[in-house]
Amino acid sequence: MKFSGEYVIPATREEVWVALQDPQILQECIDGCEEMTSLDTNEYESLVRVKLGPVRAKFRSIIRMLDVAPPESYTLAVNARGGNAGFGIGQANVTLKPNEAGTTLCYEVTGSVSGKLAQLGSRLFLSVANKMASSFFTKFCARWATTQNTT
Amino acid sequence: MATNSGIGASVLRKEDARFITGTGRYTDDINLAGQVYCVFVRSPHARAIIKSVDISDAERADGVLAVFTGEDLRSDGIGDLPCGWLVKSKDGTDMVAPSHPAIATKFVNYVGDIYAMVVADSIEAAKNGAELVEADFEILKPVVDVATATTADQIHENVPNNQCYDWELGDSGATETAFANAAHVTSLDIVNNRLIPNAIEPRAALGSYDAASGNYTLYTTSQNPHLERLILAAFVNVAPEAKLHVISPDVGGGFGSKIFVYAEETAVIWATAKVGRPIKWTAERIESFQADAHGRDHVTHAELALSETGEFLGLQVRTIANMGAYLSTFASSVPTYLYGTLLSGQYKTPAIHVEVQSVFTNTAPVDAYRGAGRPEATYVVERLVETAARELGTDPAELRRKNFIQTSDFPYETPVALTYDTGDYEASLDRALSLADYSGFAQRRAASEAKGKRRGIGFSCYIEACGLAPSQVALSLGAGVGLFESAEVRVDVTGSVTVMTGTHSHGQGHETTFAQVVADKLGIPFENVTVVHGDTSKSDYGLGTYGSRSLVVGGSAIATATDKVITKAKKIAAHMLNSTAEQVSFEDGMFKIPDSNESLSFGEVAFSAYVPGNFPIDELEPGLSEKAFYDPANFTYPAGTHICEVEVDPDTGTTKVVSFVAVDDFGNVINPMIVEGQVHGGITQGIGQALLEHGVYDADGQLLTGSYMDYTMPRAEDVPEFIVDTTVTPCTHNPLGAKGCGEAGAIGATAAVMNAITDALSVKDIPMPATAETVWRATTGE
Amino acid sequence: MVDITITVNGAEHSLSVPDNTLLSDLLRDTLQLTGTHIGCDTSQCGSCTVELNGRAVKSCTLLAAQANDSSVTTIEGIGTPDDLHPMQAAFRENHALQCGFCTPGMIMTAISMINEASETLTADEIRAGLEGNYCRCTGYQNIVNAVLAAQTQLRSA
Repeated sequence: MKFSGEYVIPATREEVWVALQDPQILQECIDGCEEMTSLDTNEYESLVRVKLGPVRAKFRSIIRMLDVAPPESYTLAVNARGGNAGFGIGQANVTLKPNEAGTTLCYEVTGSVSGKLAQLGSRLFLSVANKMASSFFTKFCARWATTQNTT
Repeated sequence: MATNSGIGASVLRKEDARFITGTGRYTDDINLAGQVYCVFVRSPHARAIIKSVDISDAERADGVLAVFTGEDLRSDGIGDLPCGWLVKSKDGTDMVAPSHPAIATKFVNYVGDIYAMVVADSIEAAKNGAELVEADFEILKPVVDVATATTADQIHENVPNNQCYDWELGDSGATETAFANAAHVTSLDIVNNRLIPNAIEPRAALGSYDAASGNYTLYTTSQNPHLERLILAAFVNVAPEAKLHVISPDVGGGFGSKIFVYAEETAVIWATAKVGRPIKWTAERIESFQADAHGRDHVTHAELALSETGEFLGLQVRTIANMGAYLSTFASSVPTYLYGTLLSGQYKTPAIHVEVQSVFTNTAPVDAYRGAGRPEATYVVERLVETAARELGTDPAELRRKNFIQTSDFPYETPVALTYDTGDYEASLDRALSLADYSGFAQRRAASEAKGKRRGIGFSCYIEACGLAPSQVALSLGAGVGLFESAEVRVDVTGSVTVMTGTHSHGQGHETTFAQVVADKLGIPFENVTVVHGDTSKSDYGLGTYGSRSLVVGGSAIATATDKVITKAKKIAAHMLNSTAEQVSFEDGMFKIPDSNESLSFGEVAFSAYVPGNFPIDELEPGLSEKAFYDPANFTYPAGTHICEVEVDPDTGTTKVVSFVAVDDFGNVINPMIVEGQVHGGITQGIGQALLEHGVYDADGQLLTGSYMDYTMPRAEDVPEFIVDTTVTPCTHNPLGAKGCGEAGAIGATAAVMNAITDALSVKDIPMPATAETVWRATTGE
Repeated sequence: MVDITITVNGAEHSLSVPDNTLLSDLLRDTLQLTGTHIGCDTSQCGSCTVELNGRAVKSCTLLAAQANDSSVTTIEGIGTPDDLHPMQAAFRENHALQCGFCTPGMIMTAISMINEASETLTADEIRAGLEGNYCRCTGYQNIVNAVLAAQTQLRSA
């Protein structure tokens, strides 16, 4: 399963890069994220609640950043365990490019789900993933909008 | 005696009163004091090494009473789930069966394989606990494709090439010669699609344990409670047989899937003693999809050799059969003794050779589903014959007729190990042709074409071997148990009768049919006969219900026990009438002696049996209750012709079954209404396989058709009004002359539908299920 | 927990149940009316069909709380073995059931279908009306016949 997207963020590439490494910010921007902790350099653990059609699951994920090239690109490798609901593994390639409006973020995700998630939720997966991504970037971008408004 | 309630009458069913008023008692309807619940934690991966299972958080969760892993069962001496039928490969070696623990310990081998069990005081708490079981898996590449399984990674340590066995039947040399002499050879590559049985009642188990006596009681959704008990006692080592009481109460459909002894009830009955509370498990539908044994799933290459004049000379069949991840209870017998032996069909094909390679994959276990092997055999033979007729430009009905075994040929020994006792295949073909108005087909086809539709007609002249099974034959072929049936006919003091049977009714209406047999033979009112089934403490023993065996084997046991009752009653009557048993006749419920107007009713004799005032007790025991164990001398061979007409909309690919005729020879029929109902249901499942149903795993071994959103079964609008009739050649070797009717519809229908569709589309073959998309692609070539 | 008042088969019950209790669970577990069956998780089999304020609903898709202040009729509420509803009698007379598991849902759907139809339904319309109910045993033909037979009786009554 593959999906990709592109967002323009109203901040400099360096600002975006730093924000993307901040567990606090990530937790605030990911829907249903209850925990996001930094385990080590370039390694995080998260707890996210997701509803995928009839399946509700709490995913405990280990997220590792690979091929880190600040502030241009990195790869996220995600290993998500949803207990009895199933399992998810995925990889996201993220690139940041400066432009006039700020920074263009491109991502390409490949991943698969298993167990009950695949059985009941696989055909809903793309729409849920896109919705979560869109929500993430809306909130993420809003940080700078808020910052701008307050300054 | 065809009274309005005896043999041959369409008596309304006794069991219906509870079902139509909502007072049936299915396993999940039963609740025991102090009952708790369990949830199974299932593998999300098709194949993985279990590196560790951490149950500590789950154990501490609210309401959780216990969490068990496979090691807990193993260390307590609980054995693997066995397969009850040993098949040998053609080189004489035994089949290879992998270890099949109820709860996996080292590996998980399909999505849904259980690796932990959580017991809690509510379902919610058990589910929450299950979320906290943390397993560390090392994911391995799964084997999913059946056709290439032998060259894929090895799944089980002890199973090289993932091969369970490589079996053959028939004379390969003679078959080769037949092909060498053939004027025409028709060949087909056929996939028999994987089906998921889907009885509407999900499987369930409710276990309890009495520590004082050491007795276990298991309520479960089983088609054969005695076999369940035998396996749990003798192979799985839960408890000695006498300490294990298994009850199959009302069961909401089985279709084969509830024959088998599964991991869930095994774990439940074991855990109930550990926890000290009754434990209930009821499957959710997605668990049914994951973990009920699936059906069919064959890949086959088949060739039929014909003479210049259209006589069948030889048949060569090579099949790869999917066993899934483990060997289910009867899995090994389905693609061999229930498949290869049926490839002669209704025809005098002189040389047949079949090879079947059974392989393991990382998918749910595959076992018997309605028809079990025989639908697959019929599909091969009838698709080939229809294709041959088209290639030769012969009428498909006439090509069949030309090759039929004739009535004068019986008993007919086939080249694939069976001896058909009787039949009249032309009679059912002719009746079906007439009911289907075959001669008017060309006109109907023209009418369909005039409105832009394509119309096709398809035949299926099926045969099945039913009445499983003659024990001697079954045991010599590798069965682990005899397949006779037991019965007890217990005459009460007041002349009413209680009948105990080892078969189990889960829709078949045994409480009615069996009562008809006994009432008819004893000449007593149908209402006075009560049939008891599904309880190991009530009937002596039994092998249960599958393989269209219940009336044929179980009913024959009942008939035999009833005859014994009559024999004993005659002795009592003779005593009462001052005559001899030889002098006493019994007819219409009355005992008479010749040249006398003295007679006794059955009730009077029964009463006397229990009030034996002046019995000569050294010659005549009191009481009137008899048992019989009936072992059939041969299989029975129901056969018939199904004719299907379809109309295809080439713009959308939608196929509508516009007419379906089934003419079956079930031998003598006890209750025509019930038989017709069985045929309707079977045909519907056959149509389901042809048009709608398909169990699909993706390349990662994930089950994509895991709910009713993706697995499509026939709904009311998907099937037509069936035209059903019977012809009769009574079975020659059982006391009822009956052959069995439960599977015929599912065995015959699929080939008829696919023959009709391929006729409509003028294509050699299209894959099942022939969904709108598949048909549309076939019509448009896209 | 949520407090609800619900009338089931004519009897009023005031109960306090967990918020997430499904109507089907309330009927089966709390009220012990086990004639309503659960056959799937996705509201597609129809075995759990009951009448809610006169209309057929799948009780596994409703929260008990949503049925607050409502009247529910289950299979147990429409007739007894000695005094069958015409639809129950027609199911028996037409051999419209085998294992009996889908039967309560079928009967409740069928009654509602006839009650809601303004005109006499044809066999095809009845087949369409049964599309929310799976039966794996009968092949539907006898169910259609039963509904046709009951319809005649219900309309003449």
